[in-house]
Amino acid sequence: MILVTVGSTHFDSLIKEIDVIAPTLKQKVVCQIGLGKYIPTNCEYFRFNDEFESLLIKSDLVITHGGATVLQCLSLEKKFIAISNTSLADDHQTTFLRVLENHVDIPWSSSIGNLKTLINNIEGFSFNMSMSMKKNISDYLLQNIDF
Amino acid sequence: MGNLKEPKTLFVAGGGGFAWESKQILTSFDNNNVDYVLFYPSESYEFRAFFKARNAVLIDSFTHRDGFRVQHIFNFFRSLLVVRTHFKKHKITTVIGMGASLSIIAFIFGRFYGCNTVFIESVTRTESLSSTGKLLLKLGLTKQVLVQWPEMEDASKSIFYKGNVL
Repeated sequence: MILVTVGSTHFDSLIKEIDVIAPTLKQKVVCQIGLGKYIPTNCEYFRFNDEFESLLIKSDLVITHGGATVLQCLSLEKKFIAISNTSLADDHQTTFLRVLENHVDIPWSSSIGNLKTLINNIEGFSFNMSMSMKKNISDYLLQNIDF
Repeated sequence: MGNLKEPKTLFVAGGGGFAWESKQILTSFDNNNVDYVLFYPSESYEFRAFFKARNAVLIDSFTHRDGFRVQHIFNFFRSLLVVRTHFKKHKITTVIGMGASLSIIAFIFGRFYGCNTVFIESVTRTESLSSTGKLLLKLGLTKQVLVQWPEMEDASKSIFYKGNVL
């Protein structure tokens, strides 16, 4: 199953694109459309779901906006493709993915038009995080904050 | 999770994209027997079961990315009452905020009650602080903002890098 997620806002252009691509894919596509107005016709969809993480774990591939789901996928070692939602404030998703790319090789694009190519090339990808990404903020909190 | 009869730490979790980051930190608290009270935005759907299992107090948000609504004024005052009640009820010594603007109210009370305060910026913030982070520093409501990218550290402005939620 391919899970497509847009987070807590909307990213209709991503959902429209995957809706066009879905009939050409071998796997079922499930879209989390958030507050989006576009309703996909070739994919299953839902807006929000408390069971989202279990769906993510079950999926074979996650196509996500450039938000925290990217990190969730990395921590679960889940295969993913990120497309930045450039319409959001300051285009911060593109900036985020660009900075993240300095620490770990990730398949991503700021152009939805590249989605099909990214899907076709995803099999050869491996995610190796650099050691600089593995410093846990909780360790600092537990050691230095007076609980 | 530790015994909730005498919690000392107040954790203000964020909804939306912040929810997963909050969950990551709280999971490590569970493993270290940290006593805490947890606030969580009521309009968020992510990880509801996780936060509910930790007795999260749901608070209506008073900001929204899609703009201002009259309801936000009511939510703001309702939030004040809920936060005040919990500060009076529990002997809180530390306030930790994760991303959400809801942290501002908690940090105001935290300052009033003389608590340690730490605000954690979202890992998706890579170049500049959020409005909440900037405001908390500007108003002197926190002595440290923790960012999750070494490139953002600026100790002279009380912005520190101590790791990330991964």
